[in-house]
Amino acid sequence: MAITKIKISNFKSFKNLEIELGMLNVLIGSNASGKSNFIQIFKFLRDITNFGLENAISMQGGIEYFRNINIAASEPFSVTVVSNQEHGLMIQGGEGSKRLVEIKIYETIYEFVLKFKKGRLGFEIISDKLIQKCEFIDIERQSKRIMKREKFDNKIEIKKKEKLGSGEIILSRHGDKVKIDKATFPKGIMINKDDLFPLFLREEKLSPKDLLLKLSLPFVRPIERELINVAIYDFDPKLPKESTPITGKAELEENGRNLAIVLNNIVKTKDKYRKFSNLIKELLPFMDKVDVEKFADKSLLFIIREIYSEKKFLPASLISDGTVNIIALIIALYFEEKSLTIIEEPERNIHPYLISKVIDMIKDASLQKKQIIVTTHNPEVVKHTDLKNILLVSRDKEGFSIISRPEDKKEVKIFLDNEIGIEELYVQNLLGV
Amino acid sequence: MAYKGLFILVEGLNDKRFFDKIIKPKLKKKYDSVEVIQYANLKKEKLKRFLRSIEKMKANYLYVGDINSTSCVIKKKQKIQGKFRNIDKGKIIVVIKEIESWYLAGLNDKNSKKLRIRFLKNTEKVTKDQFKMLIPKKFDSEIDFRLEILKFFSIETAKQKNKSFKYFVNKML
Repeated sequence: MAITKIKISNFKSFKNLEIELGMLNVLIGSNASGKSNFIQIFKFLRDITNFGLENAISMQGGIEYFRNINIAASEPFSVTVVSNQEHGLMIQGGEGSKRLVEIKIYETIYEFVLKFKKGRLGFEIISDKLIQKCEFIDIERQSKRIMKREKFDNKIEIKKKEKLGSGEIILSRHGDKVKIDKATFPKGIMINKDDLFPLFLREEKLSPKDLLLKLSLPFVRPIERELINVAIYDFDPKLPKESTPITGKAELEENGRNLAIVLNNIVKTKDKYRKFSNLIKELLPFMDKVDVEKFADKSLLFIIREIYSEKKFLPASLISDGTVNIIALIIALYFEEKSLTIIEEPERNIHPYLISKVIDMIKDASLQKKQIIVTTHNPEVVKHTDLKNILLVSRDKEGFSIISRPEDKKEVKIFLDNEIGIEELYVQNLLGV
Repeated sequence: MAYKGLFILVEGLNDKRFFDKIIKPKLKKKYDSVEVIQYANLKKEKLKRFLRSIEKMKANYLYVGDINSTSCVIKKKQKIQGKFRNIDKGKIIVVIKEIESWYLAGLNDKNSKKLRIRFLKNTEKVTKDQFKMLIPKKFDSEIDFRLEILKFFSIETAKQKNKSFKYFVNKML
């Protein structure tokens, strides 16, 4: 259900990075350590699926700023994404066979390498590969004839039978075509290449600047969907305070500008509003009601009523930055259906007393199949986060960004055993010792 | 009249949520102020200083802890006293078995059905993990589920379903 590992080389401030991710990841580090560059990896991958590779590189500032300034063209760029999202495919168990086999993919590894042209700002794709680890399940097929409107229709019932074993399927780019490099199956399964990867799909051509992700192959689609389903938020509380045209996006925008539109959909649905109301009152007990006002110029503005005033609603423009941030945060965590949610400094404008509750909500949302990455500078956030979820971003002697886990450090454990809090170690800059 | 304050020291946010919503409103008439403080993230020395300060200001306090796997209330109280020597045994409240037992105790048959969870006649053996298994599919947030329970919570029902809660209510409310 999540991206379990990221490996990257020659990207912005990173020379080489390999990091395992959990469902909740709290990214800490000094200013300019590389936290935002780490977030840019996910944005880059999302942009590739949305706009293609060339545009995605351009959106990172072009090749010059996409790769590391010091390494430049001397080394290639590479990225590997490992996902444990499960998905399945059904295929015929052999030529002329009535047997059905389910291929249950439990791990996907997608990687590609770009070589930069020396002296010029061009690149070429030198490797583009998809590895899928899977289990094979034999499916028993039973056919029953049922009568429907005086005609006989065939209804097929399928029953899971037994696990046949595991295997691996590797697809990669060869020139302008995609081929199966390797397909290992458990003994006794006869699967044709054509069943796995039909000829008409093999004929589809890739342009020199396009990646495998561009093809809508059954094996590629799940990882493509996962990379596209990433939300990166950096809320600006001033923007949602202005009215929004009703023609905006239904999903929350990165800066929260269209908050009124998103809220409008929530307040109209009884159960969604019940949940929203519970969660908002947990953080802001004075909040009585949230609503959305529609104006004649076809714009929306959200309004709130506090428990202190029975009838009067306050327009968004008069609401505090912290309140706006909390509303946006609750929507991002609980109402946006994203597989990976990244939030930059979620504690912004929020009182320290409420931070433990905010972190509790972030943990709660991460338990509901939503992978979360947050960045922070706030010691209160660090204090309320489990050590196993903390990732420390720092610079090595050569100035390259590195990411480590304070949990793995013997020295950090000794400090903690001696009742020195994690937040104190963070403030003293001792988590990287 | 002298200032009368009460500090309730609870372990984590789930305990705080329960005391803030159910207990605090009932104690407001008895005290000038009621504050619920989490101790899970406080270092031992800091908590000792909290207790010393509360005593100095002549305010009242309660230290609430789950019995968890400890065999009886007396042993649990001894354990806590071993950790904080200046703590008053009479001010320790032991929850049987965990705070989740108190959450569920307040639901009657009708409200359990409304929330689509199994009705439990006695909640003294309910653990946190069992509580999590009770969460119906319609709730995709544990916090939301806990808040819904507290909306339906009845102190009278809870007294009948959990002895440790009844003891606490009779002592404090």
